[in-house]
Amino acid sequence: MATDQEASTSSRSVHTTCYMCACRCGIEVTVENEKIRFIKGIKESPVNKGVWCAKGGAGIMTEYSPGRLTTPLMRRPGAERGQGDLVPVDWDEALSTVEKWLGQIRDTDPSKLAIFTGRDQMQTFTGYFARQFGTPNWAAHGGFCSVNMAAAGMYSVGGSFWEFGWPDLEQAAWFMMFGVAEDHPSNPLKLAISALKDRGGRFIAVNPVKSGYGALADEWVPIRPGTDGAFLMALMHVLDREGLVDEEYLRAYTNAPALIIRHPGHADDGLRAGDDQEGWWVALPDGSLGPMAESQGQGVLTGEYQWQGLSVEPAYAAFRRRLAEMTPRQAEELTGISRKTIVRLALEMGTVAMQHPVVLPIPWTDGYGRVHAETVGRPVAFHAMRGLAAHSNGFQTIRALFDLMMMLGTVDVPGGFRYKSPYPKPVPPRVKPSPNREDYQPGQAAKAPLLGYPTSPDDLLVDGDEALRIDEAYSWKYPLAAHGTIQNVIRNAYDKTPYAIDTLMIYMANIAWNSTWNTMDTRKMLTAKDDDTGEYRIPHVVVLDAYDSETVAFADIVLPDTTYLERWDAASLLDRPISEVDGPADSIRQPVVAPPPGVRPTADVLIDLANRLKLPGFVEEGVAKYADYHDFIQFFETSPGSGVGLLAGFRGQEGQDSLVGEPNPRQLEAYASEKAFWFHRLEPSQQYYRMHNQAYLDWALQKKFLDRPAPIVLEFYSEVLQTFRLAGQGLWPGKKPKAPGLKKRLATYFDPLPGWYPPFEDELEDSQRFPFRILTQRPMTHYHSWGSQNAWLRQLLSENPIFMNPLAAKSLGLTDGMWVWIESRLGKMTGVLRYSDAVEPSTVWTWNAVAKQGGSWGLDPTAPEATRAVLVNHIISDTLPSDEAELGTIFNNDPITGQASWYDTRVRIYPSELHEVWPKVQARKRRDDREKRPKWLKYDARQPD
Amino acid sequence: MQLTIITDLNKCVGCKSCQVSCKEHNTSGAFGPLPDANPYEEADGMWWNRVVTMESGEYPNTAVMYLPKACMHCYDAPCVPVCPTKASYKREDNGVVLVDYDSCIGCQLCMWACPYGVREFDETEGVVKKCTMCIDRIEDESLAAEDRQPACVQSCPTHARTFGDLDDPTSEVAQLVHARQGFTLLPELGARPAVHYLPRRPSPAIISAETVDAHMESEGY
Amino acid sequence: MKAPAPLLLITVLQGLSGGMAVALSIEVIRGKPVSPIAYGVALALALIGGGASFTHMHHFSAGRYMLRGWRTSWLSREAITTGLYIAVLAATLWWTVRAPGVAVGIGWWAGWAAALGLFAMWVTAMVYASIPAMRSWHSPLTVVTMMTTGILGGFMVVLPFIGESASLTIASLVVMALWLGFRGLQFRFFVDARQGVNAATATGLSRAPHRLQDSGTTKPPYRSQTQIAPDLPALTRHLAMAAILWWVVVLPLGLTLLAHVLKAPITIAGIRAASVVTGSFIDRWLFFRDATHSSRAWFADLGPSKPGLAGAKF
Ligand SMILES: Nc1nc2c(c(=O)[nH]1)N[C@H]1C(S)=C(S)[C@@H](COP(=O)(O)OP(=O)(O)OC[C@H]3O[C@@H](n4cnc5c(=O)[nH]c(N)nc54)[C@H](O)[C@@H]3O)O[C@H]1N2
Ligand SMILES: Nc1nc2c(c(=O)[nH]1)N[C@H]1C(S)=C(S)[C@@H](COP(=O)(O)OP(=O)(O)OC[C@H]3O[C@@H](n4cnc5c(=O)[nH]c(N)nc54)[C@H](O)[C@@H]3O)O[C@H]1N2
Ligand code: SF4
Ligand code: SF4
Ligand code: SF4
Ligand code: SF4
Ligand code: SF4
Ligand SMILES: [Mo]
Repeated sequence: MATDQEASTSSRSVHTTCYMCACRCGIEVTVENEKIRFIKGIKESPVNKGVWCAKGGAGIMTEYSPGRLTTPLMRRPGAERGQGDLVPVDWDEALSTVEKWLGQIRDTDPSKLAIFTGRDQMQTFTGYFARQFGTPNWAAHGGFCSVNMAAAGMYSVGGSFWEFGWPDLEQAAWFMMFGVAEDHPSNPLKLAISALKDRGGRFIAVNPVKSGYGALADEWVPIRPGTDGAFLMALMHVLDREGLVDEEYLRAYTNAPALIIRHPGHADDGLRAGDDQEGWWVALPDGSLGPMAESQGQGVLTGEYQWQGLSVEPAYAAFRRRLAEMTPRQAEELTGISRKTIVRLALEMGTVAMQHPVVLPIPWTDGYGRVHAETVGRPVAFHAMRGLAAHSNGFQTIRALFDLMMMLGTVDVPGGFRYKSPYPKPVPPRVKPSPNREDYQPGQAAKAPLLGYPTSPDDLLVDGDEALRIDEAYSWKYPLAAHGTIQNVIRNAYDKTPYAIDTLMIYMANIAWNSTWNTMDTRKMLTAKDDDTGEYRIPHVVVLDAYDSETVAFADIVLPDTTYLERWDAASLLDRPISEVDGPADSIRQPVVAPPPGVRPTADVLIDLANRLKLPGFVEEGVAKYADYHDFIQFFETSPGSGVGLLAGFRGQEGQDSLVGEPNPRQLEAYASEKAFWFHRLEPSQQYYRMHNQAYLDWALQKKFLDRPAPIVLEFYSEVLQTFRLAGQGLWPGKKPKAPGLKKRLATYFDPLPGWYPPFEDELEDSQRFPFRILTQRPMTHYHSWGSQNAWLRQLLSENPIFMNPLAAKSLGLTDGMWVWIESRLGKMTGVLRYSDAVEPSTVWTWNAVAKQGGSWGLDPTAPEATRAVLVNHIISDTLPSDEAELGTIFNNDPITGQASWYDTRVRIYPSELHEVWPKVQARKRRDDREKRPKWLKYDARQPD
Repeated sequence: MQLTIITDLNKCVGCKSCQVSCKEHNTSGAFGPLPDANPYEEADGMWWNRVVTMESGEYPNTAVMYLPKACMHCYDAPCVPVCPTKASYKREDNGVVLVDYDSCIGCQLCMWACPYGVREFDETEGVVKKCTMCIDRIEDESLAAEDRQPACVQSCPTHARTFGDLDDPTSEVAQLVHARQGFTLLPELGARPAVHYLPRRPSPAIISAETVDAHMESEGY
Repeated sequence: MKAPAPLLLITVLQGLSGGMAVALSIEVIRGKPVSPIAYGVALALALIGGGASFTHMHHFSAGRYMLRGWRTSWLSREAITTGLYIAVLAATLWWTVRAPGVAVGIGWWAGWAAALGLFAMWVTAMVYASIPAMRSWHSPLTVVTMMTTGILGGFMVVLPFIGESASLTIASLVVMALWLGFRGLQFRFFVDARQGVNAATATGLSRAPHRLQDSGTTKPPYRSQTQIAPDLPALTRHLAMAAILWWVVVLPLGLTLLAHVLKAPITIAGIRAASVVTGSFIDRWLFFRDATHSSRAWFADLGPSKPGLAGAKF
C-alpha cells in the first residue's frame, strides 16, 4: 500500500464550504492526481465541528455525475420546448441571445423579467442583480419552502429557527421538537441532539411520523397533521391556569403587557395605546400608564384601563381570554393527543422552566439599565420546521410556538432558544421593498431591496387590488410574503396575470418536477402557446443549472454552472448566516478542482450579463466594477463606503478589521488560509438576552447589525397583523382591498394573537372523502432532486413506498406491499404500500423528491427512480377552489405569507389494479453527448485516469 | 489489544454518514476499491458498513432504531478458521480481522461463516472485502492524530461511534460498554464480537401519572 | 442463499462417487467381480466434481494456498481428502483394469477407496455443518443427510453395472429409509431455522412485531453478499420437496417393484439411478437455496420488484 501512495503524483488539501445541502459545513477536500480523494469536515468549523454527513462525503460522486451539464445548450431550432431536444452552442452565442432578450425588456418594462432562484446560496447577489435590472420579480425558494417559519419568527422575536436562531441543547434540560425531519442545519442539529442525549436531557418529538431525530425521542407525540396550533394553545392554556408562566420575562422583554386599544369598528381598534409611535405603553402596578421603555419591566399583564377616553388592556389579558377557549379537551379532539398527555407535557415544560432554571455566573445589563448579577435561563428548548410551516395555518401556528416560548421566558437564554448573529433584528427587521409601480421603471434600478417585511398595508406591492409582482407576493392575497412565492410564478405567467412576462430565468430550482405541484399541468403551462399567435405564453425560459434536471428540458437556453467544488462563493451574514449562537460566522467556497472547459460559474455569467447590459451598480461611468464574482465578493458594499460587504472577516486593506471595514483585495486569500471561515465569539456578557442586552446592543450598533441601540421588544402581540385586519375591515386609513374575498381573508387570518384554524383543505366540501393526509419527509441521504444522480447516494434510496399504519390499512383491506391508488381532490397516482407502526393512523407519508423523469439526471431510463419511485407532487393541488371569479387564482398557500401548503393535502387510498407507477411521464430523450454509462464503477482516486 | 467501535443507539439517528464515509475513504484506500455495479441503472454496489432501520412494537408504542453494521472484529471470528488459504486472519497485535486479497480464492465460505452479513464479494476481482477498521488510517503515522481513527467514527454527526481498545479497561470504549450495558448482536452464535452497541437510555416523564390525575381533577381539564 | 452450480456439482458428484466406491467395495468384499467401468464412472464423477470445485475459485492463482488452512478449515480438508480419495480411486481403477475380476490387492484398494470416499463425504458435509451462522445447516443432520444421499445415489448408480444384486438393492432400500428419516427431520430443521431468526438478539429490541423499515434504503445486497438470497416462496419450496420425494423415493421404489415384476433389471436400474441422481441434485439445490443465514435478520425481501416474496416481517 505504501507504494501505491508513493505512486500518486500530487496531493493537496483545500478548505471550502459544502453545498450538498444548505447547512454549509466547513469541509476539507483532499485531491490526489487531480481526483477527489476525500471530503471531510473541518474540526474548527463552528458549523459542523469536524463531522460531515452522508451527502457531504458523497460529494465526490456528485462532482463526477454523468448528469453534469458541460456546455451551453439551446433548444434545437424547430424543436418543441419540454422535449429536452437541446443542442450545444458556444458561450458567446448563448449570452448574446440572453443579452438581447434582457436588453429589450429592460428598455421597455423590466417587470417582464422574472428571475427566481431555488437552492440559491448567493441571494444577496442574485437579489442585487434583479434589483439593478429593475424588476420586482425576484425571489429565492422561500415561498415553497418555509417562509412561515422565517416570517412568523421575524414578526414575533426578530429572528427564527434554523439560520436565525437555535435551541441551546448544550444547556437545555427539556426539548420539544415539532415537525422536523432533517432541517437545514442538519449537522448542527445532530450535534445538538447528541449533546442533549449525553446530558440525559428529555426529548419530546411532536410529529405524525417517528423517524430520524424523532426516533431518539424519549416520548413520541403522534399528532394529526395541521393541528399543532390547537396543541400549542392547549399547552399554553394549562401553563396559564397552573401559573407556570415567566411573568417577569413577559413584562420586561415582550409586549405582552402593552396596552391595546379596544375600539371595535374604528381605525384604532387593536392598535397600541400611547403617543410615542415607536414604543409601547404599559400599565404599572400603581395603575399609572406610561411608556414601556421607562417601566423597568414592571408593566402589568391584566386589567382594563382608560387611556384618552379609550378602553385599553394589556395584550396578555386578551390572550388569556383566547386561551380559555382552547381547552385540552378540545385539543384532544383535534390533535388526537390525549388530554392527559397535553396536561402532563405542559406541566413538565412549565415545571422545568420555572423550577429548574440554569444560572450562569455572567453579569449583564438590560435595556432598562438594570444590572443582573447572573444570567438566568429557562432550560426548555423548542425546535420546529416544516411540519408547522408547510400548512395553510402555519404562520399562526408558529406564532403560537413563539408566544409559548415567550411565556416560558426562554428566548435568548441559556438552555432555551438563542439567536444567531446578526439576529435579533427589530420585530420585524427594518427592510421593505418599494411598494409603488413607479419604482420599477425601464432603464433604472429598483428603489429598494426586492424582499423585506411590510409593517402595514401601505407597504404592499399592490395597485388597487392588483399585484405588482408576477408571483403576487406582498399582494392582498399573500401580504407578508417575505420570501416571495416562487410556486405562483408559472401559473401566473401562463395566465398572464397580473401581467405577461417575457423571460423566465430559473437558477437552481427544479420547478418542472419536484418543487412544483400539480406537476403535470405545470409542465403543460411551461409549454403552452397562445392560440392566436402560436407563440409560447412564456416566451423565453433560461435555465441556469449544473445538472441535467427535469427542468432543463423546458429551457430555451441552458447556461451550465460549475459545481460547488469549482467556484468562488461566500456564505454571507447578509444572506442566510452560518453563525452560531455564540457569535457571527461566515465562510467561503474556493475552487478545489478545475471545471470542465465548457462551464462557467453562474455568478460570473450574471456579472457578464450585467456588464453587457450596463446595469447600474455593476457598471459605473462606463466602467465595469466587477470582473467576476471573486471581485464582487471582495468589493461589494451594502452602500458606498458602508464598510459592510458579503464577508465580515479580514476586512480593511490589511485584513485587520472584522464586520465593518474597507474592502480587502486579498480577503478571499485570507479566508482560504484560515480554513475558509471566519468566526467571532461574543463576550459571555453579550451572549444572552441580546434583544435587551445593552452591551450587545451597543456592539451590534457599532457593527451595523442594528441601526439603533434601543432594546428590541418581542412581539407577543402583533400590531402589524392588526393593521392588515383593519384593512380587511375597511378601517385602515391607507391602502385597503376592494374585493370582498380579499377583505375577508385579511379580516379572518390576520389575527394579532396566535390561534388555530383548520387547514384550508379540511374546509372544502368533500374533504371527508379523503380521510388521510399525505406528507413527505426529507431523507437524510438526499438533497431534493439532486441526490439521485449520485452513484453512492442513490444506492441508499432509490424508490419510495407509501407508509401507512397497519391499523388504518387493515381496516381498509390494504396489505403490506400492495400497489394502491392515492387519490386527492386533484387527481390520483399509484404507489406501493408499506406498513409502519411509526406513523399516526390518519397520516400516510413517503420520502421527498426521489422520483425522476426517465432520461434526466444522467440516469438510465430503467433506473428505479424513474420506474418505481413516486412523486407526490402530482396530486398536490396548486390552487384552492374559490367562489369569487374576480379574485383570480387563489394558490394553495398560507393566506398570510404565501407559504405553499404542501402538507395539507388529503387523500384516500385503495387497491390499484395497475402495478406500476402512474401517472406515467414519458422518458426524456437522453442527451447524447456522454459516453455509455459504465457497467462497473470502481472509483479510486489513487489511480490516475 | 482488541480494537473496536462502539455505537450508541441512544444517539444514532440513522443518517448513514458512517456508511458513506466508509465507502469514501476505503474505495481509494489500501483495501479498495469498493466497486458499484450498474451505477446509473439498478445500482448495486459494495458497502462495508450498512445502516439498517428497524421498527418494533405496536403503535403507538413503536420503537424505531438504526443499526450501523460493519465487521464486528470478533474475538472468536468464525470467518477466520474456515478460510482454506488463511487469507482471512485476525491480527494478533490489535485484534483486527483482515483479508489478504493476494491469497483469497474467492470461495466465499467466510461470508457464510460470518454471522453478521458484513463481508462482501467483489465479483470484479474475485475476492472478499470487508471493513478493515480503517487499518490504513489508524496505522498511518503520516496522518494527523484526528485522522488516525476510522472514517466512520470521525464523520458521525451525533458522535454515536467511539473507537478504541476494548481490552484496555481504562479505555473509553471499555468503560462505555461497562457503564452502559453494552451488548453485542446475536451473542448466541458464539463469535464474541468486539463491536458493541449501547442501548437506548430513555429519560422518563418527570411528572407522574398521579400528579397529572390530580391536576386533571382539580382543574377539570 | 444462492445455490452455486460448482458446489452443487462437487457435493453431489463427490457423494455419488463415494457411494459407488462403498457399494463396489462391498461387492469386492463379497468376492464379486467388479467392473472397471463402474470404477471408471466413480472416478469420472469425482473428477468432474473436483474440477467443478476449481471453477468455484475466483482467484485461481491463489489456489496454491488452498491447503494452508488444513488445521482449521474444513474446506482445506475437503480439498485434501477429496484429492486423496480421487488418487486412491484412480489406483483402484488401475488395479481393476490391470487385473479384472477379483484380484489380490484390489480388495485393499477398494477398501481404502470406500473408506476415503466416506471420509471425504463426511469432510465435505462438515464444511457446511460446522457453520453456526448458516442456521439451517448447523446440525448433524446435514452430515447424515448428505452422506445418506451420497450412499443411496452411489448404490443406485452401481446397481446397473453389476446386474441383479438383491442384497445391494435391499441395502440401498435401507439407506433410502434412513435418508427419508433424516431428510424429514432436516426439513423441519430448515423450517425452524427460518422461523428462528432472532430479531430480538439481532437488534437489541425486545418488542414484537419487528419490521425492517423503508424498502428504499434496505435493498438487500444479494449480489455482493451470497450468504443470503430472497426468501424462497413457500410454493417453490413445497414443489421442490415433492419433486425430491418423487425422484428419490417414490419413483425408485416403483421402479424397483417394476424391475422385480418385469425381470428387466438393468435398464430399469439405469432409469432408477438417473431418477435418484436427479432427485439428489434438486435436493442439494434446495439445501443451498433454502438455507437461512443468521444475517437474514437484517435483510428482508422488499419491494414490488420482487413480487410474491414474503413481506417485510420476519
Ligand atoms: N438531507 C436533506 N436535508 C434537507 C433537505 C433535503 O432535501 N435533504 N431539504 C432542505 C430543505 S429545502 C428544507 S425546507 C428542510 C426541511 O426540513 P424539515 O422540515 O425537517 O423537513 P421535512 O421533510 O419537510 O419534514 C417535515 C416533518 O414534519 C412532519 N410533519 C408534517 N406535518 C406535520 C404537522 O402538521 N405537525 C407536526 N408536528 N409535524 C408534521 C413530517 O412528518 C416531517 O417529519 O430540510 C433541508 N434539509
Ligand atoms: N411534495 C413535496 N414537494 C416539495 C416539498 C415537500 O416537502 N413535498 N418541499 C419543497 C421545498 S421546502 C423545497 S425548498 C423545494 C426544493 O426544490 P428545488 O429548489 O427545486 O430543489 P432541487 O430539486 O434540489 O433542485 C435544485 C436544482 O438546482 C440544481 N443545482 C444543484 N447544484 C447546482 C449548482 O451548483 N449550480 C446550479 N446552477 N444549479 C445547481 C439542480 O440540478 C436542480 O435542478 O421542493 C419543494 N417541493
Ligand atoms: S450537512 Fe449539508 S453542508 Fe453539511 S456536510 Fe452534509 S451536505 Fe454538506
Ligand atoms: S453516522 Fe452516526 S448517527 Fe449516522 S447512522 Fe452512522 S452511527 Fe448513526
Ligand atoms: S473467500 Fe477468500 S477469505 Fe474467504 S474463505 Fe475463501 S479464501 Fe478465505
Ligand atoms: S463480523 Fe464476521 S467478518 Fe467480522 S470478524 Fe466477525 S465473523 Fe469475521
Ligand atoms: S472502520 Fe473503516 S472500514 Fe470499518 S466500517 Fe468504519 S470506515 Fe468502514
Ligand atoms: Mo425547503
